[in-house]
Order: sequence, then C-alpha cells, then structure tokens
Amino acid sequence: MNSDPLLPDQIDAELAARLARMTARNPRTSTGTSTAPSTRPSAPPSAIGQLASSPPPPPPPGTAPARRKRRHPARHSRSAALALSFVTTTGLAYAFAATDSNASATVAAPAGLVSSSQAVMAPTTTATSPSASAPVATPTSPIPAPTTVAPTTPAGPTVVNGASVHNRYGNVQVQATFAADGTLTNVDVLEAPSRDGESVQINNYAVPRLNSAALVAQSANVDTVSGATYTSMGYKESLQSAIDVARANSVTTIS
Amino acid sequence: MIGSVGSIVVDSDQSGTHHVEFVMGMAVSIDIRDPGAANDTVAEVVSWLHHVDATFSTYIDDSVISRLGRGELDIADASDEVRDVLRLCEEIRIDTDGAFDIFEVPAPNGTTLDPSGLVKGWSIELAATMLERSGCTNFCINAGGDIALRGQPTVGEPWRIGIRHPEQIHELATVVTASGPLAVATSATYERGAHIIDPRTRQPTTELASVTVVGPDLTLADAYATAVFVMGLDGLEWILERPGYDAYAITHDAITTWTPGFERYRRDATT
Repeated sequence: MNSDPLLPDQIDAELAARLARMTARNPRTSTGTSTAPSTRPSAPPSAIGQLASSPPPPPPPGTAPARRKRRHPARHSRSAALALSFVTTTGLAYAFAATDSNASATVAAPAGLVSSSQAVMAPTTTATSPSASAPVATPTSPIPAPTTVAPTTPAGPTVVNGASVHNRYGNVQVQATFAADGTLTNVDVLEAPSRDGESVQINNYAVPRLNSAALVAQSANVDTVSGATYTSMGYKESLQSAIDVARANSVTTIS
Repeated sequence: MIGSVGSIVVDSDQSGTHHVEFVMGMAVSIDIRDPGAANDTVAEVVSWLHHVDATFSTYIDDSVISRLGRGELDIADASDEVRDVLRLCEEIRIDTDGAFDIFEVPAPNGTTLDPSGLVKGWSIELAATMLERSGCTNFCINAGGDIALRGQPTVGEPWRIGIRHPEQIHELATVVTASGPLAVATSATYERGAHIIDPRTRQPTTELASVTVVGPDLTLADAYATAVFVMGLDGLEWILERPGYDAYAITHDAITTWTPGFERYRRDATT
C-alpha cells in the first residue's frame, strides 16, 4: 500500500544514508558515517518475516555481556528449587480476574472492525487506591536473593522471596505468600528503589497497584499475560520470579 | 515441573522445564511443557538472549547499536546479523509509512537509533525456533509481555493469555485463547508519564492506551504493535491488510476495537 519494496542494495544505501543523517544531526557525534552503500557481500535479501525462519547463529563463546553487571540471583537457585519442592504439590492457581460478561455491548465499527465501550473484563475487586499505604519496606540493607523461607509443613502457607532485581531505578525484591492451595495471598516489598523522584512513584503508586494486580480474584486460569512493561519494572519482575518459583502446573506471568 | 530463576537451569522432569532469565532489562520466562530434560536447550537460548542484549541494547554504551548510533561504527562493518535486523526495520518503516522508524525516536544512550521495538520480538522468535529445533513442541516464551507460543500447555488445551488492561491494571481486558504457533505482542502506556513517541511527528501518541497484535511471527507482531499504537485506530485497518495478523486495541476513553479475525482468539475468561 506504500512505496514499492526496495531492493536489498537500496535498503543498504538507505540505511547508510539515514545513519549518516542521524549522526550528523546528533551533537554528541564526532564523525558521520559514510553514505556509500555497503560493498561487502551481504546476506541474501530477507523478505519481511523471513528472518525469523532462519536459525539464529549460535552466539560466539565468550560473548556473554559483562558490560553491565546485572545481579543474577541464580547462584542461589538451589534454595529456589527447595522452595519449589514445597509448593509444586499445591498447584498454584494464581490468575487475574477475568470474566468477559461486560463485553456484550459490541457494536459494528467502521471498516469491519468490532468495537465495544465495555473494555474491562468483569472487575471483581476494588482497586487499591494509589494513595493507600503500601507494604513498602524501607530500602535500607540489601537482602541477598533469592532466599527462601519455607514452611515446616507443606500444608501451611508458603513464603517465597523473589529475586532481587536490579534495574535502572535500583534494586527491587518482593516476598510472596501462597496459601496451601496455591493462592497468592500477600505480597511484601523487601527492597525498593530509593532514588528521590522514583521512590515516590514506585512506592506510592506502582506498588499498591501491582499488589492489587497480584491479589485480585484468581479464577481466570490464564497461562501467561501480555502487556507492555512498567517503568517500575523490577517490582513485577521480582514478583514474577517468586510466582515462577512457586508455580506448579499453571504458570502466570506478570507483564 | 521444576523451575529455576536466573542463569542456572536447575532441572527438569516429566512435566516440563521452566526457567526465568533476567536479560534485556526484563524477565524472560521460558516455559516448556514437553517432558524430559531441556537444560542444554534452555542454556543455549539464555546464551542467545545475552548475546542479543550485548549487541543490540541501547542501555549499553559499547553495544554495536550504541556505537552505530554515535557514528563510531560503519554499517558496512557491522555483522550480518545486525545489518539484517536494521534492513528488516527499514522494510517495516516503508511498510508502515514511517509509523515504525528506528531513527526518529530518542534512545536511552543519547542517540536516535533504537531498534528495540523489533529486536525483542525478533530475538524471542528465534529463541522459539531454537527450542523447536531441539525437539520442543509445547512451550511459551514470555519476554516482558511479548509472547511466542508453540503447541499446547497440556494435551487438548489451548494456551490462555491474559491481555492486561491499560487503565485498570489489576484487571484483564480480554483473554487470547490459542494453540501454537502464535505470537502475541502488546504495546501500551500504563503509567503516568509514560508515552510512546510518534516518529513522524516526534510527539507523544494520544489515541490508544493499548494495542495487542497476534499473528504467526513475533518479529513482525512486535514491530506491528508499535506501529499500530502510533497509527491509532487507523492502524487496525492497516492490520486488516496484513494476512494472518489481527489486533485488539483500547483507546484512552475505554473504547475497545478489534479486527474481525481477532474473534477466533477472544474468549470468555471463565470458560
């Protein structure tokens, strides 16, 4: 519907030209790149979508990124596995509220699209107010992660610490409590970023809302969740790790 | 089912293998439902994802993309892999009339070269191909909400993917129900202050709060989700002309719109 597809050489030339224009207008850039198209032998032209059908080249050994140290709590994964052994029998049924009864008011939209003004699936619980007090721990001492506090009997509640996730805002770690039937019953924040502006947003806004997301009625039985990432990403990553550790046959991914 | 978190695969058993890796600034969940050990396969995928991060990240100053963006590296000297990705981005820019454009939006590294809107989906699609080549047939990879599905979670049961509601984030907007292969990608603005820039105007988009694109290939689904988000509701009509791809969008005033083909995925979450 747009311009005719470019030939591979034209794509390369266009790419080089656009890179050069971009670097030229970027004051941080010292030198521009050549605008000449590549003369290197190039890979066969890839039609859109075909790239994914070719096998990925195995990453060369030793190319794992060491540039930015992200904390990899997996060194403690043995303890995570221990936690898992306590909860795999419980059948985690964590999920979001989800009935679709409100979507009945569908109307025909232009161009064959379908529209509905009822966008929300059967909300069942009241959202936690963003100003509500959140179980936010004061970010004092970093907590090694993931560590596990397992119940003495499998029938009791299970407490799983999520991985301590480092992101650009700081470290985030949560602790999730699961009932004997696998229901997620509580989320506490063990560690949260403390940077000035971010802490306000994450502690007073994001955490209560995400707690609400985690604790809402759990009947929907979804396998995973699609959604874009939050800026306060570490929280849900940490929570996700706790959930993932605690999962049995049903996994729910926070996203 | 045995699970693990981090860079070490603990074990796997008859019910499958599950692994969460923190890479590319997010948690990537690899959920394999095929019985038997898949540790080597998962390790290979994890290695691949770290390689992608080191190469394409706009948060890493000496990644190939950062160096390209600063003009320190010529495109002709980049690897075939990098050039293939940038070519694909350019093809999609043309196909979207500039709604997807990796050269026009500020990147975290201070440049305006950011292929992240495609690289995540591309890398996960390839990761799924790696799992398939290793014999895995039933699995789900979720990278920060962009999902590649294959097969079924259990025999006879489709995957159920909750689509997060953008405004009421404790709720789901709908549930996508499907057996693989399928890709699901969502672009959305969830938090105050968050926005997606229209590369054509360099202004924040205003119409859509969330759009989910489903289709056969996560590389395209990821880029299409970004493009449709920028296009607004017009983007759903654009998607109609892309065979195999469907979209589900929610506007800021809570109007939900989807393409007719999306009906086959849309399910009452209670059934």
